[in-house]
Amino acid sequence: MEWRVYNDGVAYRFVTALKGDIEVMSEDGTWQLATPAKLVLQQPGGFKTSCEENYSVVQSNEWKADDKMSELPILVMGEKQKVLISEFDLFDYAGVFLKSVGEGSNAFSIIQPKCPTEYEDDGDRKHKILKEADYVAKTQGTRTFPWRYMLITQTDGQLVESTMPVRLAPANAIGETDWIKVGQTCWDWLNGIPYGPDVTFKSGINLDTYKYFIDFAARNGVGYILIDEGWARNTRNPFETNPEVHLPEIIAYGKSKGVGVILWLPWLTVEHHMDLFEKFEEWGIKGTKIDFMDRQDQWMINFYERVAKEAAKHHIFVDFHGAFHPSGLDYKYPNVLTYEGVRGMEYNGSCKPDNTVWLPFIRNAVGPMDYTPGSMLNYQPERHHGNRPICAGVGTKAFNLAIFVLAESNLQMLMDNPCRYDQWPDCRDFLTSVPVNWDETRVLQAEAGQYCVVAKRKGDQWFIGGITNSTERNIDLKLDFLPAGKECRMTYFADGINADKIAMDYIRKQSRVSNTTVQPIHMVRNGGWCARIDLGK
Amino acid sequence: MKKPLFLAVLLLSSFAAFAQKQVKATSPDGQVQVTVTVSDRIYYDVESHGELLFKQSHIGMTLRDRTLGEKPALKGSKVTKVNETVTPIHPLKFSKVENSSPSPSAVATRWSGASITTAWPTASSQP
Repeated sequence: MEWRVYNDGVAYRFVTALKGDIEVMSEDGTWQLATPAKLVLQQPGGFKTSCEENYSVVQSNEWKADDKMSELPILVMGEKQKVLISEFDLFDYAGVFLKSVGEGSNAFSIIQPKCPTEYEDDGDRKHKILKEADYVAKTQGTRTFPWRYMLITQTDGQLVESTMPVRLAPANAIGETDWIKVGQTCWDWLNGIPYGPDVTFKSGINLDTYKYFIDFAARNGVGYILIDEGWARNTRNPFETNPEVHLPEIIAYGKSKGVGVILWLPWLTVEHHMDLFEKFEEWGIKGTKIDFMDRQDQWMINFYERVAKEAAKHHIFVDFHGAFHPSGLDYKYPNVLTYEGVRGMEYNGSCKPDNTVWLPFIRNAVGPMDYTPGSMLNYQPERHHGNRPICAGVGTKAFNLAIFVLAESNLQMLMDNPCRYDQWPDCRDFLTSVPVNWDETRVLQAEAGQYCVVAKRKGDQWFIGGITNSTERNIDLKLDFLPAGKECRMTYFADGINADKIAMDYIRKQSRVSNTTVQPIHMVRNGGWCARIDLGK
Repeated sequence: MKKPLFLAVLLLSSFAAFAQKQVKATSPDGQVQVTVTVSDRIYYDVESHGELLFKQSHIGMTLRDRTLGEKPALKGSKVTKVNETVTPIHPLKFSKVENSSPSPSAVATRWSGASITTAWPTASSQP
């Protein structure tokens, strides 16, 4: 066994040196809490899940053995300290779920899906599993097993700043990584019908629409456009494109403007056509979004790795949608840029700030998250209305701008329609200036599940993103992280005076600030606040 | 990418360790402690900042032909202090992660750790 004891947590793993292959029937990992605590769980109906459930808060001594299990990570909300439990360095093995040991036990233990051995296609994006092994994994006898870790914090902000995944990460297995360019991408799935005075063509899944997306991306320094379901004539065949789309022309047009193209695929099509990465490289495709895996058994864990490896060989990056929590694959294969496994904006009215406000403390603490932020149409929850192709975000406009700063992902979707960003050019310019990678992250004020205000630095720019749940907040922000004795320019977005009713109400202001500035911020219910500070200006 | 720097190595001789049923390791700042107890199975306690968080938590792994962690015996243990700098390829939070005082502000300060390695002979291979 190997243990690590950090200032902010503990991790252990099994290391075996056994001959040949071994069959792991089950793993015992039982956490016995010393004192009862609130647990923040994500409870699916079974092992097949896209890990998009709302968080549920359960008292540890009331969690029963036959209650729903939880996915990882889970958050233990002690009175004085918090513990985030998750797994890392997961390869050739099954993922972990946690189940109560019994009512009153204050204990929970590992439960894992068995390994499927016989299966058949069930539609274009699902396996029907016909037979499972009696083991959870059959694997090499000489190996290290995944880390089980407990991130322990005294303040909630430490959960957000945690670098535990970096410290437990496996080494890069693909060598040269300079070709992998992180960044933002335009995306058509939720808001794919441009309209307005500058749109003189019939919008839809067609050449003109994607040229319009590319033009927008090029004008705003956005590196990619993502074409979701519909670019192929048939979702099962990745080699034959929809004739309306004229993919070669789109790729060439994008290339001429410095914009790369990303294509969506259901995972089963990838499984049947692993050679598509070679073809995509030939076409000039930069990345893929691979969807609907929805499983964490050993077979599927290995699918993730096979894909990452094959894609890397052909210089293609991957966004795993319909995925589970990050568990190290993106460190071994840095061409894996992000994962869904989050209740994000595609949930529309069911993606609410009361749930979203947990994400920086739980989901993003374990790795990148494809939340797809950046909505320009904003509603308070009871007023929300929106569906494809006019999707809207719950929460105020300032909330929807701020979550773009907070949500960590190496590939960040601009979920709204380019034409709508152009209707709010100040918001557009702010959003498209937000980096996806950071030099430094500092939590200014935070309470898990309540609110979160974070400052992040990239080079000589600081960004601040703050969000609250359905409770309004007044917070005094000390900007003491700025360099001493220097005035800088701050541009900020705040909730408008009527944003508690009309969520699109916002204000934008500029001011001069220094490290002695105390900035009062007011966030209405489901509101937010965000800023950019330019050190050089 | 990783530059491990071994500051100190404390090796409990396997003979001395064999008699012990407990192995402890403490974080560099002394605030987090793990106690691994080897008895009928492998248990551990986690204490942080004076508060016991997990007690008698247990771990093991059942293979087809044996159970790791059942009637275990402590074969030996080694505590190693580790101090390394990690520069993630895609830095989501910090571009440098290391054990350091907070003065260079762009460095995450909570990286540093002690690791314990313990080995157990399975029942069948015990002397």
